[in-house]
Amino acid sequence: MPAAPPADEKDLVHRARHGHLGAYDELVRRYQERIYATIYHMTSNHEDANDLAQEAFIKAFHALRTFKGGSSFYTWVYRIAVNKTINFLKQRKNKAQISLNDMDLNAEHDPDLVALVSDKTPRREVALSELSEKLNSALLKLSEPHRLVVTLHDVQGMSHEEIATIMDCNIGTVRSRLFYARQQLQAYLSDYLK
Amino acid sequence: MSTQEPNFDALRRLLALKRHEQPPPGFFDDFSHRVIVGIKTGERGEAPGLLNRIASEAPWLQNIILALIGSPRVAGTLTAGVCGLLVAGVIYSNSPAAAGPQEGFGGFQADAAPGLQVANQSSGFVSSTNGVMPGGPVGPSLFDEFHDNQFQPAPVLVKAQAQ
Repeated sequence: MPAAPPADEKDLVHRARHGHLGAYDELVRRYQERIYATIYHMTSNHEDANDLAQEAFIKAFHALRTFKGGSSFYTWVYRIAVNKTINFLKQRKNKAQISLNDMDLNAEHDPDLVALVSDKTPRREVALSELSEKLNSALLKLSEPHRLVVTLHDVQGMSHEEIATIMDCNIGTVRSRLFYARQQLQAYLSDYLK
Repeated sequence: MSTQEPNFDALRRLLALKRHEQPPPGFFDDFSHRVIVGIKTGERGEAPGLLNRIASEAPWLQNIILALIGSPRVAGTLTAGVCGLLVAGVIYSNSPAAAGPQEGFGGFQADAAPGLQVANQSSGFVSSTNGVMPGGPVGPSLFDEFHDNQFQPAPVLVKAQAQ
């Protein structure tokens, strides 16, 4: 017997708006990993990402009445999560915590990583954890809007249009921020990118 | 811009590696459950955190707090200003100009109730709203002077009124 088709997002939102927690649970399950990952890449801390992701979903549930449906629920909840994260980072300004050794074991077999570390990198002895540490350090040096654009585009794989909607700015701003952020990162990581 | 895009290829591949950074295994198994519990907790009326309440009820206050947290220089200046105002207030309250009216009031008190003043000085009691006095040595009563005085009846002159 084939599995039941996934429920329509609009239907889930409609039911959740009327207090149906089962429908909202389904919505959370759909987007939890992407929301969590974005927050994690912004904060570089799993505990903070956990707290912020939960708070974002809870806030979104209580604000469902204000959701007009002009954009997708996904984009809308993303915007809530991003705003929450940026506010949090402003408070935490000087408390940067980098989580090390958080890469899963599959990363060691990633061809891109192998190429970066063994072929093109002048420092062949560089370790996976060190590379991860340097990358996170470089990201944390960026301003929040620049880090967010890089995270959404180069890590999450979102389009410029989606990012512009989430960040409530035009596509030109997204492109210029992305270009500037990449330039900055390239400068910070020059030893590992030659 | 497209001519410069290829320069970022290595960087983009490096950034893509961040997708491998994952939370502990099983993390997402009960994530949505925790969210639902959080929603139910909120509906039961349990008080949210102070910052959350400020954020929802007074965003402008949250902005001020964030500005103060974000720039220690502004926070320091504000604190110094408040301390300065406090010190100025203390100095002003101790100055003769500020103390003048209080002296007048104190003098009025001394004139109005000399017995009370004497009683307080001699007994060392602390005034209390408790009607029952605590045990211990009992000082002279406020009414002692009335008992001690020998009152003499004043002569009453009655004038006969002419009918």
